[in-house]
Amino acid sequence: EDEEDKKEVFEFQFSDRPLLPCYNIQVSLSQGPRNWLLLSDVLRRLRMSARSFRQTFPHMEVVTVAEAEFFRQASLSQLFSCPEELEGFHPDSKDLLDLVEDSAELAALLGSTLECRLPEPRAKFGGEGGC
Amino acid sequence: FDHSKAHFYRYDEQVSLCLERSSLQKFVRCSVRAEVRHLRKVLCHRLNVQMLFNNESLPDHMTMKRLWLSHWFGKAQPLVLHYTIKDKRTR
Repeated sequence: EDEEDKKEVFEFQFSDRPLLPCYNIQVSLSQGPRNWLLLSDVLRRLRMSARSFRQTFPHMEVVTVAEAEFFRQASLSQLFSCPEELEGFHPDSKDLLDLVEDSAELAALLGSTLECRLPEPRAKFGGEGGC
Repeated sequence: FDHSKAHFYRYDEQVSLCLERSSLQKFVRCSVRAEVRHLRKVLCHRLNVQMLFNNESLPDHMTMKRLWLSHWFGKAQPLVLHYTIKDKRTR
């Protein structure tokens, strides 16, 4: 296991292009919420088919969730308070959605760079100065 | 899934930001628990950066979640922030 993986660090994902929407979703009862991108968004950005994506990156976790459940969880987030953000999804849909977990490898594939930062304790008195 | 790591920032909700300076844009995603000072420090390896919203300086310890709720609630992502570079850091 990578040493960095053992630490709780802030990860900042930087990109020159608008980042794809990221959804904090619990996909199974045995796991907590994790961050997922819509596979369809990823495929569109990479200009790949679902089949070639799965063949090229078999280790990347892709899960399928009911659109209604996805909508239910996503709409609970205060970050999606703008109605237009979820207007493409239907709360009563019986369709399924494929999600791919947001990871450092996927971020790199999408042209983003990742910067990690250990959270530092707050200064006791006053603010901090420069950098 | 390692439950001992479930509290890690990487599993938090992620906030989507757009950092603007003049006509330059940079898009950033990070935990809602990240604070302005963390973002500023990531940005400023060598520069002294000040984060701004609506021309007002943002306090270093404001979290992204608080920033979102107080300034961007009800609006579409990403949250647009501005930054200024005050001076160059000397090594």
